[in-house]
Amino acid sequence: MRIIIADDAALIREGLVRLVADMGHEVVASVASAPELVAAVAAEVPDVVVTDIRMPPRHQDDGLRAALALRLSHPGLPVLLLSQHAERAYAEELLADGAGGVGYLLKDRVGDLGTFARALETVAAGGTILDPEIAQQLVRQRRADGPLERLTAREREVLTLMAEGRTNAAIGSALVLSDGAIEKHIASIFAKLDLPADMDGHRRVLAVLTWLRAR
Amino acid sequence: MTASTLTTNASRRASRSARGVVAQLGRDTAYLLLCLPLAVAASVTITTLLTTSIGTLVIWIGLPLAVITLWTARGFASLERLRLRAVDGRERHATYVVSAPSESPIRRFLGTLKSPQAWRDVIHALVGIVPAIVTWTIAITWISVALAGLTSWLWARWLPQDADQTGVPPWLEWSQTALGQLALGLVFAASMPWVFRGLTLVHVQLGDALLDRANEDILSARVGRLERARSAAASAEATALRRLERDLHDGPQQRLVRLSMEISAAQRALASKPEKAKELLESANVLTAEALAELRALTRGIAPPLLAERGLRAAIESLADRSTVPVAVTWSGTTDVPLGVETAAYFAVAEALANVAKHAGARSARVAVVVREGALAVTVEDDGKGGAHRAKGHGLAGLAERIEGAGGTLAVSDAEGGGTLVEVTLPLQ
Repeated sequence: MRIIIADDAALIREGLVRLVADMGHEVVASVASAPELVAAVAAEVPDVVVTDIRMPPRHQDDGLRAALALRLSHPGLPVLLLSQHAERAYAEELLADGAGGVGYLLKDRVGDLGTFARALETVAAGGTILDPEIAQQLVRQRRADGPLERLTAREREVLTLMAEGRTNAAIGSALVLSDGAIEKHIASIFAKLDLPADMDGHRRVLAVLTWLRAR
Repeated sequence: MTASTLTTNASRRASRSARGVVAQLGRDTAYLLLCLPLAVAASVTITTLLTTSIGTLVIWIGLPLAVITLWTARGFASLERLRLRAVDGRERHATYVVSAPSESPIRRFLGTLKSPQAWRDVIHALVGIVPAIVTWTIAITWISVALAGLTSWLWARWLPQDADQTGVPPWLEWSQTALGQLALGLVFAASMPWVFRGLTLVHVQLGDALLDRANEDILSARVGRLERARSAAASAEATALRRLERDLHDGPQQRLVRLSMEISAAQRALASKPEKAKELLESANVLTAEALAELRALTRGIAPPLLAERGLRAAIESLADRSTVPVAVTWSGTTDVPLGVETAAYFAVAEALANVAKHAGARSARVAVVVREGALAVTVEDDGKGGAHRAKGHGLAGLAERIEGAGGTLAVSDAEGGGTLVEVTLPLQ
C-alpha cells in the first residue's frame, strides 16, 4: 500500500515511517502539519492517510479538519486517525459522511503491531475501525432505563466489539465463542434494537454506529 | 426661505418652549404638593421603627426590627426615586449589597444591615422632612398669593372693609388696592415656574446625594468579591499543582522506572534465557500501556483538548460518556461562554461526576446546563444515598475554591428524591 503519514512529533513520525516500511508498505510522504498533508495528497493520492489529530498550525484539531476536508475533495479516501485522546465527538465527525474507509485509534495501539496492521488493511478496504475506548463510550448508558438495558451483558460485549468494527470471526476469537454463537447473539441484538437483520460487513457496522449515535 | 416662514418658525419655537415651561411647572407643582405628606409619613414611620428597634436591641427582636426598618425606608426611597424620575425623567439607580445565595437564610436576612444604601435610605427619610417643610410652605404661599391676586377683583368688594388697614405697614399699602392686588398676583404667577423649579431642585440635590449612588456600592462590592476570588484562585491553583505532582509521581513516573528495569533485565536474559526475556518484554509492554493511560487521564484533567476545540457542551458529553454511572446531559441557551467560565464549569461537572461515581452509590445522574444573560448555571444531581457535604472532604471543598476563584458560587444540598444536588453559578464576564 502507498501511505502518507502526518504527525508533528518527529519521534512518532519517524517511528511510524519505520513501522509501516517494515510491514512492507510504501511511505509516499511523511509531513508535520495539516497544510503539508493537504498538499501531499494533492501531489499524490495514497491508499491510506495516517494522521495525528493535534497538529500545526493551530495545534488543535487541525489534523482532523484536514482529514475531513480531504474526504470532501476525495470522497472515500481512506483515513486512519491516531491520537493521544479518544473522543466520541471526533469519531462522529469522521463517520458523518457514511462512506466508510475511516479509522480512529489511540496512539497506544500502534505498539500492538497486529492491531495497527489490521487497522491499515481494514480502512484501506473501505471498512471502519474505532478504538475500544470510543466503542465503550458509544455503548455506555445515558439513562438507567435506556434501550441498551434490554441487552444481556454478553450481548453488550458483542455490540461493543461490533462498534470497534470487528468481523464476526474477530468477535468470536476475542470472546472465545463459536461463529454460530456470535451469529445468534448478533441476531438477538438486532431484533432488540429494531435494526434490519439482512446486512453484513461494513454496512452492518455503519448501521450499528448510526443507531448508537442517534440514541 | 421667506421672511414669513422665518417668523412662523420663531413663533413655533416660542410656543413650544412656553408649553415646555408650563408642563415642567405642572410636574414641579405635583411633586412639591405631595412632598410634605410623604416626608411626614416617612419620617414618623422610620423614627418610630428605628427607636423601637434600638430600644429592643438587647432582646433579640431589635435586629429583625432593624431589618424591617431598612426595608420600609427602602420602600419610601423607591417611591422618591419614582417621583424624581417623574420630575426630570432621569432614572435613579441604587444597589443594595445582597448576600450570596449559598449563605444561610438567617445570614441573608441580616445581610441587609450591611448594605450602605439601605442606611442612606434611612437618613433620607429622617432628614428629608426639613427641606420638605420649607419648600412646601413656600410653594403653598406662592400658589395662594398668585391665585388670590389674580382673582381679587372678582371677590374683594364683598369683603368687610377694614378702615384702619391694621397690620399692613405703610410701605405696603399699595398692595391693598385692586390694582396692587392684580400686580402682586401677576408677579407671583409669572415667577412661579422658576421658583418652583428652584424648590424642586433642593429635593433633587438631596435625592441624588443619598438615593442615587449605584456605582459606588457596586464597585466596592465588586472589589471585595474580586479580592476573595483572587485569593481563592491562588489557593485552588496551589492545591491543583500539588495534586498533579503527586499523581505524576505515584503513577507514570513509577511505571517508567519499573519499565527501564524490565527492559534491562530482558537485555541480560536475551542470550541465556530467551523465554524469560520474552516474558519481561511482555510485562514492559503492559507497563507502557498503563503509563500512557495514566498520562492521558492526567493531561485531560489539566486541560481537556476537547474543551478548547469543541466547547463546553461536547466536553461535558465526553465526561458523561466516560462515567461508570449513566449520565443524562441537558443543555439550554445559546450565548457564547468565555473559555475561563467553560473551564471552571467543566471541572465542576468533572469533580461532581467523580464524586457520584465514588461515593454516591447512585443508579444514574443528571447534568443540566443553562446559559442565561450574564450567567451560566450547572446542576449535577444523582439518585444515590445523598449526604455529601463540603466539609467531609469529598473534593467539593477544593471545587468550591476553584468556583469562587472564577467569581461564582457553589451549593451542595440533598436532592428532593434523595441523592445529592450540586449547583454551580458562574458569571459570564
